Amino acid sequence: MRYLTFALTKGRLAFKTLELLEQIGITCEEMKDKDTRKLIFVNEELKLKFFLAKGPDVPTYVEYGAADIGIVGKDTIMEEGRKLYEVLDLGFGRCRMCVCGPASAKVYLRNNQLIRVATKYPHIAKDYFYNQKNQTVELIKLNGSIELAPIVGLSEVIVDIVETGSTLRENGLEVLETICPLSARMVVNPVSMRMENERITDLIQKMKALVEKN
Amino acid sequence: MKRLIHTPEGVRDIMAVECDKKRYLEHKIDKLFRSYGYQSIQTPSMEFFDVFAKEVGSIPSRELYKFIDREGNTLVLRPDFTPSIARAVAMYFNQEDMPLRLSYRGSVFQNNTSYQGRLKESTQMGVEFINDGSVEADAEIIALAVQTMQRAGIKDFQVNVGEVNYFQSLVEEAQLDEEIITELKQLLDIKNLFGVQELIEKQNLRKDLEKALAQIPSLFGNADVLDTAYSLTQNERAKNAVLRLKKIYELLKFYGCEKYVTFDFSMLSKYSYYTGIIFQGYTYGTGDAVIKGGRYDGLLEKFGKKAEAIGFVTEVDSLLNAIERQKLQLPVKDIKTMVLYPASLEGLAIRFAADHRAQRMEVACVRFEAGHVLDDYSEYGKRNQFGGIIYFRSEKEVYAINLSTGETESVDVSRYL
Repeated sequence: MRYLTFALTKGRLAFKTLELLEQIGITCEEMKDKDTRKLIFVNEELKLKFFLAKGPDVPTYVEYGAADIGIVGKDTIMEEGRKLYEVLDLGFGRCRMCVCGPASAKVYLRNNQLIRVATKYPHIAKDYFYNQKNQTVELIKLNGSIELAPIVGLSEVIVDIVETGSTLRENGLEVLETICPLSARMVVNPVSMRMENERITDLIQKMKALVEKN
Repeated sequence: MKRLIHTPEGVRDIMAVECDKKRYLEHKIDKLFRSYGYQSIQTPSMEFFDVFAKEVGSIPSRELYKFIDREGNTLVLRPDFTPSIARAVAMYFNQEDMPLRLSYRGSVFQNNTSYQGRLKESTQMGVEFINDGSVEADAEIIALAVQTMQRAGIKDFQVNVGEVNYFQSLVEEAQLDEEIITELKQLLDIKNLFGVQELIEKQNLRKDLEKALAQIPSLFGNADVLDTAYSLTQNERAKNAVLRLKKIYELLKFYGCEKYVTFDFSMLSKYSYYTGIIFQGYTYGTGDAVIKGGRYDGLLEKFGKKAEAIGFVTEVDSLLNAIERQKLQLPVKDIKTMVLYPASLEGLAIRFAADHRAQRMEVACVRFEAGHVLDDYSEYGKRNQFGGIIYFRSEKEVYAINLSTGETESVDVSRYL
């Protein structure tokens, strides 16, 4: 039997995924060891391999078939725009992709003038402003602490993930528009889906049952 | 000035063993196509933009390489062979109503920026079978697709077959809104089974129709799914689509190809010109299908000839990657021979080489330059895929050196003296 390889997003998403997998009898003891320096973990019994990767890299691994299955946030899938099967909404890691800014910035979104938008997600922001709102904007790509941009005057608004909104409130910002809801998704390589259809479909069915129960 | 000697992103040089392997594979596939009576056709790399315009249903305009000629026409580098061949057939075979079998090989160009690491120029080989709308034509083309994989030496592969009419007729019967259809297609495209179910349940459809549509993503697998698909619907057109696949499957048994074929009713193609069966060939080692094809009975009409047609394309570069990554061997050997001679024996060396070339050997003459030793030439030979050296030390002393084993034996060249 061939190994099925999972690419998991480092951090909370991987932790939650392992919890779910454990409930359907898939364990990976090696991975629980916090001090390990191993990069790849194997379950010989079930012929499974796991590795951790940075979020934006997970769709890449899956697209090229280096991993058969990936667990990754919908935001990353949308931003990367890769050719994958997005087979299941895992229901955890729920949040929203939003346009945020000070309340005074609301007016900029109404009259379609050129504004500056800071974001970690230039593709999502571009698609939203250009194709859905028909507004020309100047995109500024940042790599973290996006909330800072409108405060220091780098941009009028930002496009970012909002979970509870507390960071926004503390900094005098608010959600101006919601782009779409987000959550963790299970993605599958199209070739693997066909060549290993039985094993993967079985896994999806079990995961789905579990997600519904939770 | 610093010179740019690397290639632009997305295009590459192929050489040495890799190039030999590619040529070998292309030759094998070409021979297969010929064995089915396909004749070669070459179309130009550039065409008028209209050949690939939106109505044709090929690649989106922004992924085309476009430029303007002296008269102001927009030209494109072909991104896909089928529309080019359809145009050529409409031009040269307008009155022909008997079957035409054409095969092609060449580069296609896709300006696809979002997939870093993907080639923008890649080699495709394919066939088009025109003026034949029969089930037999469908089966022949699928059998050829299966055999293309086999000729490449691949053992673990599948050819997935779908029928666009099944999905389309159900959607038409359900009278879904354009927006819902788009959403449904998107969900099917990412094989989101549960997303499809939820969307369909919200539409308040007739129960049997709801069940059939919600089941489409799971209609995947061996010939048994044909019976399931047939029993799910009362729609005449959908039933006919399944019956056609059944007939194709029966015919494929005569070719001995049926065990490589699976069925998938949720398969959608990014080319909207397909009107009947569509299929894709998959194997390990590439993230995407290496063979893509289908029936396109409406495409030629867009170029002024009413004709039914079916064809497929093989992505040669992806197929080579798959062969490489599955550690399969293409029998490309180092069989070139180096005739190594001192300047004084050039006449002898040239006569010797010419005689062996006439016997279909691959022979390169290399002059032994002062300042080098024999080992330099052995290394040089190994770097450049030579299998052996015929070393002319003098008229009397001639040795054959096998570069892979290092064995040396003397050769009698008296008849060339």
